[in-house]
Amino acid sequence: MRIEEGSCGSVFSFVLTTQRLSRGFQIYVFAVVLAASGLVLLLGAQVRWAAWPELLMFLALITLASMFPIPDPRGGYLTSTPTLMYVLFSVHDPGSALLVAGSAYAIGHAISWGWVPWRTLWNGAQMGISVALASLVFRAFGGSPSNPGIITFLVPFTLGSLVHQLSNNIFVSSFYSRLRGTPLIVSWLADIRDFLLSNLLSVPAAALLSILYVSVHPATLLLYLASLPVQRWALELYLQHRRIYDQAINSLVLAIDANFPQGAGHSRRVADLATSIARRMGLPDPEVQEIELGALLHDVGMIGLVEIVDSGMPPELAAVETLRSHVTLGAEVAYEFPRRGIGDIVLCHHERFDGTGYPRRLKGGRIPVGARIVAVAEAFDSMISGGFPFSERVAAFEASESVRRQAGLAFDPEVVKAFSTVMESDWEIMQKRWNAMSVSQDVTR
Amino acid sequence: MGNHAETLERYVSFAGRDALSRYLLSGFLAFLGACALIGTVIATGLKGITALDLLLLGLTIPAAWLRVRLEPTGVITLAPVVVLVSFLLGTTYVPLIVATLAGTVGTVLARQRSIEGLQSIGEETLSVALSIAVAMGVHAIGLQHILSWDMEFGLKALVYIVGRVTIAALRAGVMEDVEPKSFLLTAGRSMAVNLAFFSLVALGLAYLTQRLGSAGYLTLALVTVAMIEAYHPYKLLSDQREVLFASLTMIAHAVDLKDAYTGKHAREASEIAVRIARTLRLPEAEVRKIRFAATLHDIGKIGVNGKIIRKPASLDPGEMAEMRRHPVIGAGIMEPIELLAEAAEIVRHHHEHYDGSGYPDGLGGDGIPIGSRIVLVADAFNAITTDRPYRKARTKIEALRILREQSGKQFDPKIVAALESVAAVL
Repeated sequence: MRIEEGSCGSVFSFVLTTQRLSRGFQIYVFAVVLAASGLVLLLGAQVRWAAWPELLMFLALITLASMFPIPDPRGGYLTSTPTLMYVLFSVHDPGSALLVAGSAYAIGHAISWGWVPWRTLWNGAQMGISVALASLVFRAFGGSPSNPGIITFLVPFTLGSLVHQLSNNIFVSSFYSRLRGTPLIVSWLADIRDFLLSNLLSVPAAALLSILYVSVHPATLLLYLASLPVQRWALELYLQHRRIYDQAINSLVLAIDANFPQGAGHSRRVADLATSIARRMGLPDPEVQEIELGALLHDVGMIGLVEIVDSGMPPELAAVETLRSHVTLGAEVAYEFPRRGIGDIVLCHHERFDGTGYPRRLKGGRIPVGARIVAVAEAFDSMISGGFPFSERVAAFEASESVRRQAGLAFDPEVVKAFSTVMESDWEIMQKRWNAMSVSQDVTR
Repeated sequence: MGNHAETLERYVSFAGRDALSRYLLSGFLAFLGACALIGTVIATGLKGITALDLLLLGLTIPAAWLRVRLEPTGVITLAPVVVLVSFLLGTTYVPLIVATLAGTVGTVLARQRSIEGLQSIGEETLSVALSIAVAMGVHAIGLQHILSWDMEFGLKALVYIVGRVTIAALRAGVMEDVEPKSFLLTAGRSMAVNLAFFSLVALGLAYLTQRLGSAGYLTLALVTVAMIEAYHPYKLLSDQREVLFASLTMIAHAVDLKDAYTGKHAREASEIAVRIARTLRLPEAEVRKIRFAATLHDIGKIGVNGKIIRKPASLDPGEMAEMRRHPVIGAGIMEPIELLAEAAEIVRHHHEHYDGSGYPDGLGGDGIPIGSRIVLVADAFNAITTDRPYRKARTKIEALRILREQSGKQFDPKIVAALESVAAVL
């Protein structure tokens, strides 16, 4: 049930506003439409016009589905058209699949994004070609939904769906790359990475629907469509909760940063750096997310600490003990979160690799890896935002040198190695982001 | 003194009743779970398992992975789909083995302790055992000729569904103080609807396997995966709901750091308030508001100078005025946020007194929102029973005595009475 048109749509509105298209682009669009027409001539003879009620049902369903977006948990919107396309290519011949998919997709797009002839034609053509190719592959590998075994059905079906996805991705990415002048292969690979998994996830449901379509009744497809509004409702509620969650974390981060004179953006910068280091070290995604949150909250214990220092305690005591207590106080706060790892990062981010840190004097590998990473990120950011009289570039260079000198003493050499790589490759991008951030005074991503 | 003794007596009697039913239920479920585990091992050893059984067990693991937490309490997984299918396709004891496996997977995923794990296995298996027993009873009295296979399945499924919902309602009532009626209207209803839907799916699958022969088993696997995909939005939603609440608790805790005491005041006060609200049989929608409000009730202190919050001596009028702004500030923070806005009013009024002597608006009696009256009592009870820089924590009995003295003045008598009835399990 995932698709590519979330991105497509934005491209189209962009095209609409630019209006003027290069000659190469015109040729490209024309070629795609021409190829689709050729395929229609080639495969048109096979179309089973007797099955027109079924073809009409597909036409209506795909049109409807492409007008009925479902929020994507990862951002943007999805439609359930791929699932319908997969059923279509397996239960009908390539010619019918091409005609139905192409025209339905074009109609759906024309309705949702407005009627622009070349764009509508291109859209229908690329979708038709992709579905026809999938159907051909499905048949070439001996697929038949009336004999649903693994070899006789599931494998050809999966291959067909992959071909559909790859071809669709190529079309959309070439559209992008021509429009923006980015290399085709880069945007294609990014697209594939984004859609491959969700594509594979929608295969079982589509395969099941094909089997039901053939062995029970074509109308079973309507049952599936009925479940979509319910899913949409759950996803919208989910996104609402996530929005509030993001707001909540952001306001907490603002409150943390308010405790440091130079602190605006400190927590976000440490989190960015820590996430980059964690990625470089090849840590799995869930752990990277944990490290990001741990880094955002690493100084949460500082809330209220200013007041302790002001409260008229003996200064020696206040300075050392209470300042150090921010890790335990903060960890207590972070342990409210269902994932323990986050609290562990907050607790241990002032441990040193050689075992002379606080609060527990942990050594080496006994310090959680997230805490070792945050220690480096925090030290670096404190140095570069701590008011060196040099320009930031120089300060950054010196700060990273001094981090490197501490490898094996304060910091884990492995982490420092990953940190150096980050400084070489990602530093410029990160700096740009932070500069943009300080302009908008916004810590959201 | 007489007053004190009376409180004590109530306290002990409530403590006895509540704690006993808790121990009984959890002990019973854990015992069942242990039996199911041992029985599974023995049954597999004695009877062996077929390839189909193996497929069913294999599908149980992803199906049990999809856990959706329900509001106010309870869990739905997709494991019942496999249980119901195995009623139709598996050999007699396979549903029990599937249920045991589902409980085990759930335990591992929810990172429960082993005793809790045994309880969830017991909960999974009890209704399966019941429906197998009913089917056996039907056979024993010779009625199996009257029932066609689908009617027999219908009977088993009905017993299973009723069994599961009943146990869940019982558990919610005993462990979480959720009234059976309000449970059945919320989580219980969606459990029943989903289980009925699962039964239809199972029936359809059995029909397909009959029709397609061995290829039907592929359909079985496809259905399980497709249902996981279809239910995934609900899992996302329920996980996110939990994470969101945790982040709010975290914020409340962080704001509490400005105060001289630390600890889990926000979380504990919210637990107490929820129990009180449920004892008063408020609708679950109201309970949810109260939960948010009780967690965030002091969030307005973020706008009050920490020196004033921490000052051990009594405040001068200016400081007092600033301190008294915190409910208004808190409500102001919550109002613009979806989902929290509905709880803002409760936060605004959580320092109003029953006799009208509170702030900020000097409301009195039933003019104060019920949620605010509850949060005030929960806040006070938790504050008295935890350590403060200027005094040690008092016992629950002392705290109840103090609250009773203020009952009708500062506090609503109904709510103090409700607190007394739940104090034993806090």
